[in-house]
Amino acid sequence: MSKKDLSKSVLDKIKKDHIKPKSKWEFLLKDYVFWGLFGICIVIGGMVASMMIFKVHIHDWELHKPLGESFFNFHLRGMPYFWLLLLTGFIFVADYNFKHTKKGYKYSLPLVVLATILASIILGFALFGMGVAKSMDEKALQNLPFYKEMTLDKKIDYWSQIEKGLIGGEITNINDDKVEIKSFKGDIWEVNTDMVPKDMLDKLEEGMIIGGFGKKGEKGVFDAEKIKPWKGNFINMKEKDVLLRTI
Amino acid sequence: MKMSSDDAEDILQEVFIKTYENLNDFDQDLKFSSWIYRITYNHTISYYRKNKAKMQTLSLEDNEIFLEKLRSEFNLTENVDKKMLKEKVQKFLQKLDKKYRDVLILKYLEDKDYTEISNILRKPMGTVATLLNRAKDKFREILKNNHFKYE
Repeated sequence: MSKKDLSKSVLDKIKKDHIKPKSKWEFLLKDYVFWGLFGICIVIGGMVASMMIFKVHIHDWELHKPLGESFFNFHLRGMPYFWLLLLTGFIFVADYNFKHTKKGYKYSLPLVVLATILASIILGFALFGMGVAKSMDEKALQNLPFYKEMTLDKKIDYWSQIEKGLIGGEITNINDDKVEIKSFKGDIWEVNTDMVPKDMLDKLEEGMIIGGFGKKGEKGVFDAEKIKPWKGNFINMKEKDVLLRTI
Repeated sequence: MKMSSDDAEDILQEVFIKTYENLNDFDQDLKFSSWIYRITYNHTISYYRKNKAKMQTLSLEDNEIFLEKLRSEFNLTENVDKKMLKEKVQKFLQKLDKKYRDVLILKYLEDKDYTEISNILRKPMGTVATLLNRAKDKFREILKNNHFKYE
């Protein structure tokens, strides 16, 4: 077929099949959809990053000592791997969407992944500062039983090992040298606070959920060395919608 | 790959129609030739996938320049006549992975620069450079394994 014949056959087909150029907005829309999905991935990545920051923030860094475990073994086990995995997933979905934007192919995978991680972390810190992660954790604890089992319940179990020198519960009464605690198991404990630094005691109030380090004394008494307000959310075990006072 | 002139005309006609349909998608920052090459490349691949059975292997017929460029790039010193050289190079190229063959063909047959190859294959420039280097290494490895003389 000569060039002339080819041109004619192309033009004939265009006329015969009424072929028209697709409008610009179709292509723009496709591009915007991928940009939008990329943006959504960054926002979700930021929320996931804020949860990771929150989890690290409320982590009990001294808990390995009374449990007799090494620092690395214990705390490596307690890192927020689920959120890390989720963040990794969203980073790669973000990269997929970015690569499908009109000029996204020009940027290498490491560059896009690094930029996405940075954006997620910056947004994560901002959302954490705004209290979004704490609210998300509250909602998850109230509505997702498996989430509560894997996080709060596990933490409560750690703080219920009185034989190992860990006590946790709600302050029911407080006076100069004693604090009365209703433990997570429902027992009442008299906590001797002679050894506890004053600045720690000053932070305590009735109704507050706390965690204490020390030794189990005679019946019903716990000799505390440190008492700290509970880090993170805590939900009343009987009334799941009641959030008790924590920091 | 080798195709009949009917196949080539079909592809060409469809490429022109596709180009016309997608005119509003043309990015002014690209060379028009890169853009239409990308359409042709993608369309030819999909045509090849649909018609794999009737397509033949890569052919270097009428591609003297390509052969010369390869001869010079790889310093091919094998003392064989052109016809045999063509056959051998054709066979060696066929042994390469498609991703390596594509960049070699774009660089040495189509004479495209890195930016154009990047725009045609929709890959970052760095990836194109890496692919091209690896393609050359693989090609040299094949030459060596086949006791083909080069410097």
